[in-house]
Amino acid sequence: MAEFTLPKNSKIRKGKHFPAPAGAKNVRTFKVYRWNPDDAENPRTDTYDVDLATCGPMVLDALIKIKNEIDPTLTFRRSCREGICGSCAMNIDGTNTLACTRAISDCAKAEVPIYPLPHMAVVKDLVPDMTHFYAQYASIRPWLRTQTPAPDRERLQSKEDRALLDGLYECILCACCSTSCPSYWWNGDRYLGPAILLQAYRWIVDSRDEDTGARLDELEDPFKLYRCHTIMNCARTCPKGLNPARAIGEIKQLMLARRG
Amino acid sequence: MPTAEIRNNMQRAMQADAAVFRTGETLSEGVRKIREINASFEDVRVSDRSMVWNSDLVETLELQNLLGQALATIVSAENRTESRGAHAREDFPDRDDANWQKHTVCWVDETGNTRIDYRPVHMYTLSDDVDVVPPKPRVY
Repeated sequence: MAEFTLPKNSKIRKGKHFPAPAGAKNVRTFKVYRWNPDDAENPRTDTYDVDLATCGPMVLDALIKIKNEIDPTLTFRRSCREGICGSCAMNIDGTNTLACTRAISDCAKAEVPIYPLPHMAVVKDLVPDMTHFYAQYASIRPWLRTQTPAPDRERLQSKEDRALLDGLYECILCACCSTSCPSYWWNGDRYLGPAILLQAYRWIVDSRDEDTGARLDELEDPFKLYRCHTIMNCARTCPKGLNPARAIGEIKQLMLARRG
Repeated sequence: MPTAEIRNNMQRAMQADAAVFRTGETLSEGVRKIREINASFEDVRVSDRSMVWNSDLVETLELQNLLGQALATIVSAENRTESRGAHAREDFPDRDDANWQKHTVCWVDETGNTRIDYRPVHMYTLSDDVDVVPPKPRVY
């Protein structure tokens, strides 16, 4: 029988509340998902009141402030704090995005909800298990595949060929798009998802790559590629402003074109 | 004391007193501060007790390493009375090859005591094909 509610041990309970220090004037509240694999407790949302007068402008600044000054047990990935490493991808204010490039002032809800990337196994708090995502990335063998002997110098590209990679090479594999895709939620085990397919297309259109046929063969599969139903959540959520759905559309067109 | 507080103290002391442009005065002030901050690590408190993804504990271990590095850096910088590369002493603006063309080696023991020694700079290459490039003043 279909189950319409979360299992008992997955229900999210109300957690602790950490009030702002007395005298704080510009307070913003963050509601953060917490789950610790070590205890048998259910997941909960802790509420933190942060004084924005002593906090940087981005959501990541608030998270770091919470970890440094309010609750050191809060766990999340972060590294570059400038939107290029993709570590701090999480669900903020209802949207998958990078905590470091989302301004607190751009969040709509009074209590800003912060959750891990949706539909991923949670390791702890805001840290999702990315193992499968990375395995899928490895499965497309994302490197330059050639048959001709290596030249003595660089493999050159025309300006036009290089321009084909714009809108693709910027992808940082943060997984915001894949984890926002309902099709990836239901079939994530076999559907590659928008991030990986965008990467696959990045190598398919690369003028220096000589394995295009094999790359397309590998994607000719009812699940790997064709579970994209152009829902377009990927393009909407991408924190880098890319359009994975367009890349997937291009792959589908190439498939059709070579069928003749 | 929480890890973040000790780390912030260390960062601020190093930024204030051991930036690229330094003087004997700021460095000796910095050495005093960093020794104090290093000693305060005695009272560090780790709040997260979990065995999985314990970033609080990892950051504390990182801090322990950083404190030793900070101490070695600032003690060695105070000791080196010349300017060289990114070590720009405003009270000793010139490079002094006669006395300081040598590597500093610094030991930091568990209680934060430091001992300084030196190692010679190799003036030869590992190949016969290229000669060693002797140092000369950088002029722009």
